[in-house]
Amino acid sequence: MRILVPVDNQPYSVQVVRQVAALASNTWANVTLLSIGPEAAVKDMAALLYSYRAEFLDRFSDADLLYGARASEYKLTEEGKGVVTLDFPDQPGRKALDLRIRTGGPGREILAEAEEAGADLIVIGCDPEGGCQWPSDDSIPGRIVKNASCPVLVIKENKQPQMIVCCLDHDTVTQASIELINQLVTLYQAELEIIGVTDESTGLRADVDRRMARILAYYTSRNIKAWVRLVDAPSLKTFIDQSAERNLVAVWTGKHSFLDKIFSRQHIEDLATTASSSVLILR
Amino acid sequence: MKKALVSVNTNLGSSIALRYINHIANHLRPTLYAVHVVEPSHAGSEPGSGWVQKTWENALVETEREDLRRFLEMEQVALPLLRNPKILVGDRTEQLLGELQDGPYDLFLEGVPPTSNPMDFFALLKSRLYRSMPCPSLIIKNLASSDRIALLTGDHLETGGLVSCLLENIDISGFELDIIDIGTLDQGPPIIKEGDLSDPGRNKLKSALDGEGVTPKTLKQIQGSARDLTDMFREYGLVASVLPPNPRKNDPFIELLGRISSPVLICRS
Repeated sequence: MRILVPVDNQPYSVQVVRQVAALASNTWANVTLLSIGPEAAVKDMAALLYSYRAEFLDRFSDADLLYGARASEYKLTEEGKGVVTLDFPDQPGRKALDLRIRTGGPGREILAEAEEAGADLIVIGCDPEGGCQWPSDDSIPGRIVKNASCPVLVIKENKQPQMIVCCLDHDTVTQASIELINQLVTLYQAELEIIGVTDESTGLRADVDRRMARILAYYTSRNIKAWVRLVDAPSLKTFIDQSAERNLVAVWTGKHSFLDKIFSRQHIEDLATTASSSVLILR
Repeated sequence: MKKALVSVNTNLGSSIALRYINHIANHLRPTLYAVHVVEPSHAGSEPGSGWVQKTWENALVETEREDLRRFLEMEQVALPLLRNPKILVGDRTEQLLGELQDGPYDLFLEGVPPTSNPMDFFALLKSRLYRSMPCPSLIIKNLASSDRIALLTGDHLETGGLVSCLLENIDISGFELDIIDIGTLDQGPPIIKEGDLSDPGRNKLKSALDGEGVTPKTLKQIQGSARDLTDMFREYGLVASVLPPNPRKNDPFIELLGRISSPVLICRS
């Protein structure tokens, strides 16, 4: 698993790095911290990334060197046009904690980095006040959610969600997505509510019913407190919007997803930016 | 010997119900019997009549029996009587009511996953099955594994039979019991206050529990909107309540019961 974490110099980015470190300590994921800005600010961005690296490594003991040692020296290496990496040749970790800088437009560069690195998850922070904007480019989180081809977790708060409401299209949802939710439930020690979408005329389809029972069994066998709730398709958008006021909402919108028809990309972007709580968009 | 009837099917609701029953099996006082109703009308138009129809129904029953056997095996149902459900054929409501009366049974259990629309719960309560139910019913909405039980009370509820209904059906040893006193359910912010259990006049349930030698852990007085109060009930593995005398569609108490995600024991006043 590779997690891409775009950061800027705002307080929410510190929270994101801390939460990703906690997630990485459970999953041993490879992690890339990415800073984007003008070419003239490369040194400042390197210093910022170095401070976030220290924040990340605070989660781990120096003894296991999983992601390298705290006190390492770095050197800047230009990897290509507009791409600079911070290399730590003395203390490589067993798992990758890459620090990378890209110059250019943040939205485009984050998506390019996600594609090139084969990211399995993008975790991005924003301040819920003021519409989840990044000061450098106000629409970044929304654009990433709308255009990324991998799952995106938008983190908006310091507090841990008590409930993860996951709206999965049970026909096509991937095992990776189910396990990612499992990781978040563990990370936040939250409860889980699994939403089944019903049809007005036929209720819960038999195949969805069976798949939900299996997903419920999967989570309960892992000692996760999982609840189910059925929502009819016309009420789903309203239900999700209301749930996002206080719970972390996870929505599966992968290829061939039934939910992709209910939630337009624009609605997903709006949900991610206007929700009071964190949002996970699964693909 | 008390008897309880569990309606089983091969669906999510039954899966939840069976796991919940498995979890609290040692606390359920009645002996559990399972029933499955085959509804020929749901399998398409019935072919012909007489021998042809009977043969078709028999084939349908055998198919469903086999599906059910596999389902119960998959669910690893531990209780022997639940592994061999009685199969009835016909309209589900009529068959279940007939079986409940013939038993006679002292408790009815079924899995009903909650919906986002609390009116669906009202529709369930107003269904002929529940209106004519001759015994209390345990509506298992979710697999709630908490060892806490909430007993609902309020000025508008006739809770006279609630304590005996609970104790006759559930062995509460090892459970913590909370009395939840429902105040005004309006659109105001949720207010949850710890009440004074030692105030003898305050709560009818407390004296009923005293009479049975049961000590509740806390008394909570709540008010606010049903939607905002719902989350507090997730900490309970069972919510026991009676219904208001004439439940109405827009009754906020019914809305609250509908929104609660935990299993609900509906007792008769």
